[in-house]
Amino acid sequence: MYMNTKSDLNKTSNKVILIVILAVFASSNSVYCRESPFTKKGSGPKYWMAYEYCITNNVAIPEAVWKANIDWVADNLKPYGYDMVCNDGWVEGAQTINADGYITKYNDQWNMTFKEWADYVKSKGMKFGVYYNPLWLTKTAYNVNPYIKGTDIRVKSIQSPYHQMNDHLRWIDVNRRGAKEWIQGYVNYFKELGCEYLRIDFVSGYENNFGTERYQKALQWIAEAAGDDIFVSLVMSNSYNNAVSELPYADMIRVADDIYEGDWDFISNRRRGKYQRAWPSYGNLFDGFINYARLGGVGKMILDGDFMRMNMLANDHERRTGISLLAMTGAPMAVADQYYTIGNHLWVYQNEEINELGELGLVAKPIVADMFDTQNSSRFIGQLRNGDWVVGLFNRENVTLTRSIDFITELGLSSNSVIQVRDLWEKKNLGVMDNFSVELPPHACKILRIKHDSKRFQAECASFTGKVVN
Amino acid sequence: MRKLRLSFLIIFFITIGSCSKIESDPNPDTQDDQNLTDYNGTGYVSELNNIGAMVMFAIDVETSKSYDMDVRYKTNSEFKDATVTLYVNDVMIQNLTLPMSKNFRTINVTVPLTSGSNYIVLKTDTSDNGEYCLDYIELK
Repeated sequence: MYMNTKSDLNKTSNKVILIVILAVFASSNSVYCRESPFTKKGSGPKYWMAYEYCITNNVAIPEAVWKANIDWVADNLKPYGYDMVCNDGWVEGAQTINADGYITKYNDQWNMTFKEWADYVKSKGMKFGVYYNPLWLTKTAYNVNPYIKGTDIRVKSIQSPYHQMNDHLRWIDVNRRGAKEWIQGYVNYFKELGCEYLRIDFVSGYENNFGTERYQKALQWIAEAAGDDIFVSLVMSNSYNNAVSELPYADMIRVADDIYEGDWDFISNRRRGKYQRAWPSYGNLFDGFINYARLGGVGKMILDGDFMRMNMLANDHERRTGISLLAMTGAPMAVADQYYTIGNHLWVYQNEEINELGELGLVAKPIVADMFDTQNSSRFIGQLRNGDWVVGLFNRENVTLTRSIDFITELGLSSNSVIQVRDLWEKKNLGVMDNFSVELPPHACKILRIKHDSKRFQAECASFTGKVVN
Repeated sequence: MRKLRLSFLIIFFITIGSCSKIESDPNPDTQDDQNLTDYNGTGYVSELNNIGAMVMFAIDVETSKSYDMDVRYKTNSEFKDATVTLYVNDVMIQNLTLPMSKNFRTINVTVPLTSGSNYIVLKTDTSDNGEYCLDYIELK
């Protein structure tokens, strides 16, 4: 950072004061969410994501593979509610730009533009999502240096001279004149393409390089432009101070590190029990969902567990647990398997009763949000809007364990109020009971839906800004 | 400019100091009883006294009408009522007074709900003290 003059020092100290004030007032919990139809629903989308090809081959997905996947998703997953597709990173090769400097294709080697692909996806009855960060400026846009749309300002002037994403992508500085028009123009451009989901990656990189104040400003502008038309998904956010920067402006944040290999390590073991202040705070899905549970809920933040790669999990217990954890917590149910890697595991994504939980906006929470209380943090409970309880009993450990739930003392139901208990994986009614107990093999789960005759809604399972006392 | 900034800092820290005093009030009568066990379910929600603090319930009903609703709560103080504001679908319904109670108890209110999804919010507005803990709500 350049601070050579007294004027710079004065400006800097004023900013420090402002940040301190913002931080203090932010900690008062006065801001609780971005107002959008997405946060009001509570749970994330069901979609297919290109990630697996890219991470496996470390290149952008070829257009033919992309198309084959879209067709496969439309035929096999869309009937089960997976109604969106999205490209992933490896976007350095997206250097083809329009007159305003915005990228028109996922990769220069592709024939079809984003617009053409959006139209194709819609012709299949699905939505189109885009992975990109509107705070980026391509090398091509920098060299061509067009005017920022609606201004007399050249694109080059908003680039930060001090921070680059990499050789192909440069960060823009939101404090430069024209930055707001560039960012909001980019979001509006994606909107005009027909994009309904914007996955914005490397946001911690922006906050780390430019500071929280400028990061918040960028998020605010993005949210303003997105409105109710585009789902704002943030990836790699630091989420400092209970995500005070992200809560007002994002629909969704990630709770744990990238999926990478997609095995049990990602679901439960990676850096288990370890927290770090900056991204990624947690190494595995369970730890992430347990510790971020306080931020999730209808009208608050949707918690993102990245994707699933069913073909990389060791057995069906792990597969059921992986998708169930996403369905229970209201996370997006995102498929990264490809049409040629899914093998005979498609059934995991095709359980209508599990999928319905997301449709109904379920956001369940661990009974105790303490990852060191292995029993109670492996039991998730939540209520549907009609009052039904959904209970997820999980075994993260490598030995068989008994997991139980008492409907009277733990769910607060009256004796004899239970109408039916249903096992959502076995798809069987279990009858009427006051409690349930099961032996779970290593990495297995049991998901129950309990119908009852009361309309009692527990505060600890609602959305809130305070703290749960158990 | 420097004087202005200094004055601003002084006012700022006095303000923060006042807030801190409220947040860390040593009076045990205003402290949330963390050992309370007569709650229903697995727990209850506390620390709702900050302005803007809220608990939101998403609830579906089949029929549009006014519903009787129980609110089960306890106050943080044995000697002072709590106040909170009730909203339904972003419309303020009423300012609720929660009579002081060391133990959990219920009061009954009426809420107008429409068929389909409804959002019932108990929010601590600027005029509220929010000195309560919430156990559950129940439509009758």
